[in-house]
Amino acid sequence: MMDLDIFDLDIMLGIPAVPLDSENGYFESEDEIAGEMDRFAISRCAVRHIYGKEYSPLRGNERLDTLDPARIEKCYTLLPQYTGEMGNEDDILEYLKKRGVKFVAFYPLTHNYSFSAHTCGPLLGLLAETDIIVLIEKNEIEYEQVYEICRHLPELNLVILGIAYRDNREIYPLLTEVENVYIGISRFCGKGFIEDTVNRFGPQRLVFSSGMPVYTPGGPITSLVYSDISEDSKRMIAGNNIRSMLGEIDES
Amino acid sequence: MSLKERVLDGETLEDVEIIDAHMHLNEPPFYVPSPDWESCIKTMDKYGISRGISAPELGITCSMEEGNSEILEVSEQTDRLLPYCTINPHFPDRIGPELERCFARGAVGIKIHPAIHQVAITDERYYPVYEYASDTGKPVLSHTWGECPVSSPGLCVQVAERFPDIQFILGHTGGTFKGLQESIAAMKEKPANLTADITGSTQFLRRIEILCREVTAERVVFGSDSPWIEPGLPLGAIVFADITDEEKQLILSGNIKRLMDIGKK
Repeated sequence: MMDLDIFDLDIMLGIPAVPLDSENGYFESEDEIAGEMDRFAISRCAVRHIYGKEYSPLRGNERLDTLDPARIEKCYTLLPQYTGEMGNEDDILEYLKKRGVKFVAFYPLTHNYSFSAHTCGPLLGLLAETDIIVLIEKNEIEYEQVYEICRHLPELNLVILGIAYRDNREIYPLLTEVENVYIGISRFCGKGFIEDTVNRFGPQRLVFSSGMPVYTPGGPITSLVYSDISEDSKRMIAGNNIRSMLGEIDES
Repeated sequence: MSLKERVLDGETLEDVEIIDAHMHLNEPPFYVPSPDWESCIKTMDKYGISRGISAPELGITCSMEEGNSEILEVSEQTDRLLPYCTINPHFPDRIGPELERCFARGAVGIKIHPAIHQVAITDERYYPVYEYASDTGKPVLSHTWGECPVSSPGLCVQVAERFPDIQFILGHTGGTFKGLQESIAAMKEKPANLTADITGSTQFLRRIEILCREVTAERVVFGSDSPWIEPGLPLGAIVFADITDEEKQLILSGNIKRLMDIGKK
């Protein structure tokens, strides 16, 4: 069996204010996540907590501290330092280092601030000096803001989640102009999108994301397995691009 | 090996009959690398999809006659793509002749898109379609979307009340999760008339299992929306679902063959 060694960047823990229904659209426990990882042959993942988005970043981050680090990397939610809710930017960096955090998420729209260089630049600048990977949902940002941020911080690794099948005309300019933006493939699902993106920009620009617990990983896994690209490129997208950004392997 | 294991291994499923019940012909209003039909067939070959039933993009937008002619011509060049006759309800007097023309040249079903045409599924302008479909047994694939005033799956129940012999295929199974719930409610109310088509980008975790539990695998069909969507997306939703391989086979081709009265290629 092809061993893609999948590293899933898009999993949310906790019950949102509006789940799909009373039984679907949320994971209430780590065991539920582990069960789905086994079912879909996902070896490792980064998990956010819905409290961090919909309630309190600090409370959400605390909820992630008990997860099994062998398979699950916690993805903390951050706020810009200006209001002092998480301390100053040095405090925030120390907070992440002490807890071994490798992924962070920002929700500018939900948390009522701008993902601009002016508001987020200083904190993102510090993150750019580390191996910490920034995850952000498409609906939370404007592409122009991402362009400005990434143009000024070329060492920052920023993954956009939720890019969809009608978005290429907006996302291709961004992929062309800056080299440190990466696309999660969960909903980037038009016919031939994986091949087209790899041919234009290289396999290092796509990363695996499922969108669980809302969406099934079965779709992006199957699309990736059958994509007309090299086996090495498939493994890069499945997980090695992320491992490389984390400094765990050398893909250069 | 199970289907899931074979897919994880990247095996082309040549011995598993797969029919794509919901495809499009030519370019949509957004970027797709290769929307032409030859490219669609190459994509089908990767997975082992033997045939697809395709509606012309032009037919669901500006010209049903010109669009239908395009898919009819393609279907005369390849036996891999079967035509839907696509109908624009704004021209009710032209519907009857267009249905006759398309079915005389090999159409196997009728496609309507109430959301694009902004005419509700229940609107009388569709009645010539429903009368023809009822008389001939040809199924009607309708785009459906949850909570949409013109394409909600529940509207098909009202049509089935008036046209008791009609066969509706609920395109996208209502798309949203609310649409899934509406589809299930509608299918329970009209079990003889409605089938769920899982086409599209909204492949919810455990949607296939929910459908099989609530309405049985006999009433679910595989569709991709290709070239809008990579077929691996809905195919993977089926293959990885916690259902039997027998149920998967029904969804992948058995049910649509029965509905469309199309035999093994």
